[in-house]
Amino acid sequence: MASPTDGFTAQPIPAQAGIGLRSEHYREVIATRPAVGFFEIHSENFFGLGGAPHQYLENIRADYPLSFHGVGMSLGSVDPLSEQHSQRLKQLVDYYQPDLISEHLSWSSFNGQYFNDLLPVPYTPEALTHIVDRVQQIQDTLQRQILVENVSSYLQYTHSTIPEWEFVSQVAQQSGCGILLDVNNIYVNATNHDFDPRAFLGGVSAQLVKEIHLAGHSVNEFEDGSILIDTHDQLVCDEVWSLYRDAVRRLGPKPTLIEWDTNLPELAVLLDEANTAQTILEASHARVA
Amino acid sequence: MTNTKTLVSTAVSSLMLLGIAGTTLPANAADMEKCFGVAKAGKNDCQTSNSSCAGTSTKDGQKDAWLFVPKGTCEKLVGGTTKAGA
Amino acid sequence: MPGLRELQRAFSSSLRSEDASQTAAWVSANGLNGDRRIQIYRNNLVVTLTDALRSVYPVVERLVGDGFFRFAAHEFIHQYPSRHGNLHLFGHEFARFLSEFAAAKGHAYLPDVARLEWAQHEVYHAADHAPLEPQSLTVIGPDRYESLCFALHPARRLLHSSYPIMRIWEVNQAGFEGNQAVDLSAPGDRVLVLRIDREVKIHTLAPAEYQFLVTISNGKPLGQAVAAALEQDRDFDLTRCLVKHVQSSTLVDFSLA
Repeated sequence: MASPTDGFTAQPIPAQAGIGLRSEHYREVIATRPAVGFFEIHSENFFGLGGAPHQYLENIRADYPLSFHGVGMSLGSVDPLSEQHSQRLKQLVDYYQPDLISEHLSWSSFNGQYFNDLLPVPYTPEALTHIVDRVQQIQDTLQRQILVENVSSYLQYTHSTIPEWEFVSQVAQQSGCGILLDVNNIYVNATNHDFDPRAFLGGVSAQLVKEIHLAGHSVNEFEDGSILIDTHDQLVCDEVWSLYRDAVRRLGPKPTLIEWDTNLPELAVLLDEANTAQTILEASHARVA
Repeated sequence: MTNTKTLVSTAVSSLMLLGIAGTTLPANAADMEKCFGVAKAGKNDCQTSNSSCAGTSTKDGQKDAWLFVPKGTCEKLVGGTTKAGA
Repeated sequence: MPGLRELQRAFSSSLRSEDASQTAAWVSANGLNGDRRIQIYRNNLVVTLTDALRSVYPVVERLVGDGFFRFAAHEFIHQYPSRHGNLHLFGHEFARFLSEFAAAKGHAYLPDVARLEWAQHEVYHAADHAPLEPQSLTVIGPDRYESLCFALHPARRLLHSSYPIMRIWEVNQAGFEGNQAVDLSAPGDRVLVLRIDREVKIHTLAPAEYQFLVTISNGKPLGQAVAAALEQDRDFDLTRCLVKHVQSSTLVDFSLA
């Protein structure tokens, strides 16, 4: 990575479909320059200081706007925010000038030990105040607005008092951040925790939502019941597409990302999924026009 | 004992010649050491997803006794196993 | 009702142990019970960190096989927990762990293979650096040459094993065809792990050349590095060695001692 002084200039992400950039696809993306609205990376995959990842990303950034999606900030943890982590993210943000920067509404560390997972926070006033403060700290460090994403969860705390959608909205309203609405995570949680996913959609304000995520999930069966797991290893299912159509209708067209992490298919499969999202977005643009 | 000063002087002078005409020194037999390329793709990408194995067992299945013995290609390594590591 | 800190303390310990009763009591049990739900997170942790190790240590995995690797990873994860939100930093103590791991005792070469793989991982992600411009040395008077200190490129690692780790590494690459047998009593390897363009490569080094580079990398001046190399090999060819490592950008900066 060259010095931050010769970084990129800001490039806005249009309300179009984009895909997650994974190392297996670097070469093909560079060779074929697919027609997508943007690429999203996992910020931590570029925390290394140089070498292949940055050479590829610089090349791709020259032609596309970027979104940075963080996995490891541990927003909801009671541990102090990692200064090292925030500072490295800031360097990358200053250099690559991503249009969107997001983190998860979850925690992943305690007492310095990291679980490298998106663990659920209780939806309580205490957690809300804590997370609002943390989001503000990060925004102060980066001197940028961030987005927070609703995560999939496999349990609910009995002492949660605030509906998830209201919690997410409150974090955004009180901290000044935006919302990255993961429609698959809404569907997964609605199924796992037995609520109406449309209630979630109805509970967030259109102005706060700056990006939408779509992904595939898996069903795990147990003798005492089944649960949906957010695996990002398959196609977006019909129910999630339907929920996405409703989301776009209600919130208007938003930059939409196809996320795929495990059992990564050919780039063409991701582009097909992005195409489906793009068609829905364009239909909505047409309605608006 | 070889004169270190002379060796160093010759070597650094040769080095400075490199810049001039893109000079390269001829390889000798000792240059033929092995070079191994690695197709590393940085595959341990950070993920935001959960493993599909996340919920598949009630215990994590690490306690089976058969796992305690290495059973890979190490069986093809012979001799000198008791030698101390570096 | 637990506060956020109390909840995270209990949840963390439920992830580390088999006992999730404390956390389960705060989890609603419609359908699946609380223990089952926490088990999902516990398994996910093990799978995520095992996969991270697998991607850094494919040769160790091939050597010991999938089952033993998962067993070793499981023990490692609990002894050396992840300390960073960035997964790329996880697993550097795996070599040390393997050297202390009773079940791997009969395989004393494993820690060195792990060190080699971690070096490759680090080199892949390390910073870039401009090559040394030989002309820049003209500011140094010839009488100061012995005091020249060179810096190694950030994407370089030196390793010495008393085992033939290159042969072990080579026969365990995907697509290797031929005899996989390795004679562990063969001479040990000295290697330089480096990045050329985007690719990570491993060069084997002669003992004197290795000694030279190790001395340089310890910040010692050229005079001392030459003396150390000559102790290994009276015919050590400094000119060839210096030119080679400047040309291949292993030596990238200089200063005076």
